[in-house]
Amino acid sequence: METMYEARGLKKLYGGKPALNGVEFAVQPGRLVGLLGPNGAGKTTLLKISAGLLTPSAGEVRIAGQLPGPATKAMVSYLPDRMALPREQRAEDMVAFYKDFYTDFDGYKAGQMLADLKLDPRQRIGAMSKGTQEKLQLCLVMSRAAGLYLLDEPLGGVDPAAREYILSTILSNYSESAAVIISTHLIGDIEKALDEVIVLKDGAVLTHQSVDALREVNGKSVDEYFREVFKC
Amino acid sequence: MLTKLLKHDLRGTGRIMVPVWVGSTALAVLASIMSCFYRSYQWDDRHPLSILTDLFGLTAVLCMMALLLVCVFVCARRFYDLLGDAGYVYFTLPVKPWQHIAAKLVNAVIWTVGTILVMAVQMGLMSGPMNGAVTFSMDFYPGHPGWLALYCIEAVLLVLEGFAVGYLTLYLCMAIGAQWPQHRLLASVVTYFALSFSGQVLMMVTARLTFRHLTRIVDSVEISVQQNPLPTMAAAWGGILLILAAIGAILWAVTQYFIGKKLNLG
Repeated sequence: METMYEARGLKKLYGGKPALNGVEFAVQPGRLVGLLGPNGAGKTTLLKISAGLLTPSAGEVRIAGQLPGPATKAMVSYLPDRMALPREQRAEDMVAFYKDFYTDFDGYKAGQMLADLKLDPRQRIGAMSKGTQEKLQLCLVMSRAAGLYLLDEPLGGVDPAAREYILSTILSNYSESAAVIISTHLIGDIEKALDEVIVLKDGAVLTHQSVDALREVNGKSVDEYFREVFKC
Repeated sequence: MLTKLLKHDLRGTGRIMVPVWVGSTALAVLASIMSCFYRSYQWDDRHPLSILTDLFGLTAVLCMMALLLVCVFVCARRFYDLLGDAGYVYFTLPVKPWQHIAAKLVNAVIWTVGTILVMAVQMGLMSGPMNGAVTFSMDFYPGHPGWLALYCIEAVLLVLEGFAVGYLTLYLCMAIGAQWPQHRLLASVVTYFALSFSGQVLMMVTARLTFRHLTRIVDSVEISVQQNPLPTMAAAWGGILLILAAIGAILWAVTQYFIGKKLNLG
């Protein structure tokens, strides 16, 4: 099976300061990968490069064998770490917008998710609360049958009840041919669902292994491992 | 994808511009009706309705003048937003950078032309039809409908190209301004003034360096205008069109470089 995602010698400098420093790893289809690391470790930069929003200073990212561009953007569903939807639009406008641009967007599934999360399609995005906006953004991203989901802090701003729904949505929405890379600080909430973890430290990969192997080798949960490694 | 982007942009801009057009045209109609009443009843200057008529007329004229400013602001704002948080949605679409620029540019030019037409309609409403200008044009080129048509096409192209180059200048300034992590709007404004200043200096230096050649060219054009006025004028306008197209191409290429290779959404 073709590797879904591959980062080779990835470097990104911001004004001479490295945000990523030789990141290398690969993700196979059907895997749910947790991208972990403290603030400033380079998680968001890595996801932005993968989504085609940043150009790396050195190295490359390949998605299904292709460099980031319109072809990879058609198969990548990216959730940014901030509210990016135009505030003057209504939820239903954004559903129509996604349907227009992405052939893999499922309008019916989006409608179902909006109803499950009690989101009013007629409501303007600007009039929604921060948490509701984040839910809407996640609904749109997860309503695609993408090959690769890049989710940057999808659980940060939502309440615990919605968090559970979102997690089950992430788990149920991706197929065996798709991969998910999810960046989060809420490790305890997502640990059970993860297949692999990639831990970033100072822009480099500290460890990349399966969750089971990490638990077995260290004799502790991923959450505990993270707390120990990055203890202040 | 370009047509989809354009459709989305036209709709987004229309949400603001159509109500503005309707509102200002309604004001122009009202001012025109008030003016008709004023002429019919010959109110005294101190009559409250006379003052009201003046106020309506003044407001309608001010609104009409503000229309173009609003249009430029709204169209420029759409590109500025593209380089902000909304860019996380737009730049992850399966679309090439040139298509983003093209969609924004075509949208801006369409709405600007539309706004000018609406302004013309409003002027017509407030002052009556301008038969004089049409008569003048037809008298000026008797027996040369072909040249008149060519001039009209060139004039229309010049106007459209002028708008496009204007917007491309704004886009480039915003793309450069977006390279700064903070105070991006200020950086864009400073870039605009720096670009304008550099452009003027470049033109002055070029004119100075090529003064002798320019004088010769102007002289030969003057002679040619006297001998063959219509073809010479058409060629001169064509030359200006080409120069504008070259400037536009440079502005587009640099903007595309910034949003393609140096994208910085903050």
